[in-house]
Amino acid sequence: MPAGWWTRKRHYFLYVVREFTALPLAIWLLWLLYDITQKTSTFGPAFVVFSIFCLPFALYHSYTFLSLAGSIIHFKVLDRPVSPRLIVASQFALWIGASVVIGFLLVWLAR
Amino acid sequence: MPDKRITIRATRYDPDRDEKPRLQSYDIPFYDESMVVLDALNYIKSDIDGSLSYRWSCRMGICGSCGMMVNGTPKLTCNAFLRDYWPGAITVQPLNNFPLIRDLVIDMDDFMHKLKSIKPWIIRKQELPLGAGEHHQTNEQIDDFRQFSECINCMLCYAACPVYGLNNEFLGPAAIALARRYNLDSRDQGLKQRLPVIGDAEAIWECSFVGECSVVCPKGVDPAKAIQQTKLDTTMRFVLPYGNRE
Repeated sequence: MPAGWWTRKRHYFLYVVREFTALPLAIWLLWLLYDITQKTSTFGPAFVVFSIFCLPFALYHSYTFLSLAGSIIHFKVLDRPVSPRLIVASQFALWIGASVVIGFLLVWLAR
Repeated sequence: MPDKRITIRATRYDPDRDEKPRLQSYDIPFYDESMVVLDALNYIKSDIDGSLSYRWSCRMGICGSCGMMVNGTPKLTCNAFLRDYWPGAITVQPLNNFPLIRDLVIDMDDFMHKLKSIKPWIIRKQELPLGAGEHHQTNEQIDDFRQFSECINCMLCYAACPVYGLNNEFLGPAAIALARRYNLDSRDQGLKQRLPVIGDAEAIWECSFVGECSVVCPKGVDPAKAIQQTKLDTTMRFVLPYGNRE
């Protein structure tokens, strides 16, 4: 395999982008873990800027992850398989619901 | 349209004479709108150069022999129409990720060993005598595995899979899809025999869900889906208290 195999097809390229988006998230998480172990956790402006930088990566990674859930999760209700579209839609609904709850909690706790 | 012509660039490689594969161009008549790449290769072999080597058999997308890279994409050449490429040239190369034997012929031994390793046949703990009758199966039970049973072993998915290209120890898309086909079959009792092969680090867990195997499959099988579902199922077997059932 030539090193540039992932540039040969759009599908390969999007796959590499999808996998790559996990990298900024991993760095963000390590930074977060490091910061909260410090005696005076600051979450300074650099961390805020980096968090904003990471947000699109996180959104794209979540979007691709949840979109693929329809291929992975399979179960039957009343002996009939649940449609992959319904599974994906429910995953997105759960994601949005959880985001709203966590956002609300963060705002509420910060008051 | 007697004057219509098309250029076919085909890989030529004679292991006794050539150091590495090269492309050779052939300008051939495109006399029929229903012509496929395999027809073009057959024209070259019969009218221009009889030494061109390639595999083919049924000409109707069922034997799985004529898979090649057509303009960089794995295709059954009997199902790749010249009209979709004309007036551009068509480059025909051997399937990616396999050792080359000659011209467009690849060595498929690796795939054959992998296919055999997942035991793609119905396994019974105890065979019943013929007189005991047939195994009944409902349409719903067939639907559970039907699409995975469409695989014709054409190996296009292996040629499309970068994971297999980077590590040919990987069991690969078709073999895992077929393992799932038999594991989901209500007549089969061979799951425990296949688990050590499909659950191996070089099997389902090597797949990173590129998904190109499912894109190129000429029979509409979704091997990527089979692999991810097998990951979920084997994990559930491990996690759930009743998971280790047959």
